[in-house]
Amino acid sequence: MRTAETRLGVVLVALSVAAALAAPWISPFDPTAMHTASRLSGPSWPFVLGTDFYGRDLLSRILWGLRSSLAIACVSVTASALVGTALGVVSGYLGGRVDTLIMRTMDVLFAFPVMLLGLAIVAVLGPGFASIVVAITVVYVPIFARIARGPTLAARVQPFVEAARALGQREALIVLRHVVPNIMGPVLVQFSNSLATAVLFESALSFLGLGVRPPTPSLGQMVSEARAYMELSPWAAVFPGVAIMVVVLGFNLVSDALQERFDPKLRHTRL
Amino acid sequence: MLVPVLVTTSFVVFMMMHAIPGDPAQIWVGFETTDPVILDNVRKSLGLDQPLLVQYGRWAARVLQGDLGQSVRTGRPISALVAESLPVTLHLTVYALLLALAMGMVIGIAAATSRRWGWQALYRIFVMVGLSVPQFWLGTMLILVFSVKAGIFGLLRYPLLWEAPAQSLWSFLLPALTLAIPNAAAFARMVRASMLEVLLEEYVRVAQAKGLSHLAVVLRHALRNALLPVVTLAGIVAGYLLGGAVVVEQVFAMSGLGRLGLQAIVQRDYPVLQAVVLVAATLFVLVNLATDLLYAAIDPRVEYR
Repeated sequence: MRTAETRLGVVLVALSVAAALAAPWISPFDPTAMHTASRLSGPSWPFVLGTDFYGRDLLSRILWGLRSSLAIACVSVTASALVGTALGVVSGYLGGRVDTLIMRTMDVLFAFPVMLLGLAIVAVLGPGFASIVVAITVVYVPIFARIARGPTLAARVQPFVEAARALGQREALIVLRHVVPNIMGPVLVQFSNSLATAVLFESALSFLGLGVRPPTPSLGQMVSEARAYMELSPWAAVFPGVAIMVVVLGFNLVSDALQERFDPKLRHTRL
Repeated sequence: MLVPVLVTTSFVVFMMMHAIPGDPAQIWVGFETTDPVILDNVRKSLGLDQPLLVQYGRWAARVLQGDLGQSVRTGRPISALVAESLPVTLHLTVYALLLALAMGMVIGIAAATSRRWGWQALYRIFVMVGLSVPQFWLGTMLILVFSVKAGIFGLLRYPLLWEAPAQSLWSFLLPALTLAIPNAAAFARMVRASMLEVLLEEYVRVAQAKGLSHLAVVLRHALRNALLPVVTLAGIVAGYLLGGAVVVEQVFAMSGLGRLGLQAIVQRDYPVLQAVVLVAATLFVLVNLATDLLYAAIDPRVEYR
């Protein structure tokens, strides 16, 4: 295990989660307050990262934006992991018609390019926190279903499952006690990987104007606003992107470490 | 296999678009008109008074004849809108796919076969950054550096390859790079992994023992086998490219399919959005089919009946 990279990943994730949680206390200004006297200022005191077109403090906006990004990513990835894993386990364990029905439904969702499916869902529901969560959840459910189904198929025919069945244990109990622990590895790897892509996904949606509604700060929308006056002051476009990258990098490094931990065969595929 | 997938896909697209809140007839006449008689007439003429399944059947029948309907906003035929924007998107995505493959292969192969510190470092940084950078920000930064600051690229016109070849390749370069880099990182990772695996195989050692040069072993014996998983990945990447095109087209103000769809969302022009999603999903399905066939062509062990 390349511990230096893993440690870096853990530190980045810990820092960004801490920053997001503590945003209300550590952000130096109100993220929506306009300091009209110092519009478009570069990094300087008291605006450490500078200000945007309306004179709003970039650091405060980034901290609050990080908060909503991470909240959306965590809620939606958790939801899709729960639903997707459950579907995958049921599908793999029961087999037969249930399996066919569930997996064909997942295939239909797979037939859409991820971003487009997400866009279409947000278009249907209208922009906002809840719609993005639903969009990301729907897009990620089939991934978890596929990930969970494979190992379930393998676990189902293991002697310990047959033994439990021979002992007359209830099916639901067998699944929870003997099948689920065996699939947690791949699910966990996918979970942390999905957190990384969900942050990217959310920021792309908000860049396109389909994210949380202003004035709630969001990192993608900050970049899209800042593009209009990039010639005058590039900072407002630069910093939010760096923030996104740091968070995503953290999750990616952690997910690589997890992957190596749970699947030594895939050792080559890590960074 | 292709037909049922397309039928289900189109049905899902259709149902999804009909779940959008808001009355399409109201959008059609504009929000000043509130006369219920006029609205009823419009509904009838658009076929909105029919049951959903009938509406779907009519829509699907027209789509099969190449008629995608009309834009609710501009009244223009959607097939014309798609015909204008599709070439831009295809141009962008194919260019990006080639760039991603080229970058991914070079960096991946070098990282697997060379022990030089420089290649290893380049590989690490490229993959880490590539998989973590948001595309819209990458594109924005490229514009900032190469267009706003250095003034090397103008970003107003995107001529197609057959209109002005040299100018086209040049003007599509930044958007294609933006679209390519995250996918190139995925390719590099896959190429390196599968290369490392293949290099341990016995036939590679035999080739080395025959006294073939390092380059010959890598290119002739190892690469071909290492490419199999890469082909699978290419199919997946094609989906990301189509989706990413929405973002990249917006960043670079290119009037492609993705931007058409985005405008349709903003203007609630749902027949256009419906057509865009349908066209994109169809393309995606076709690409996946092509990948499967290509896979069979490269690997004699895979057979399709």
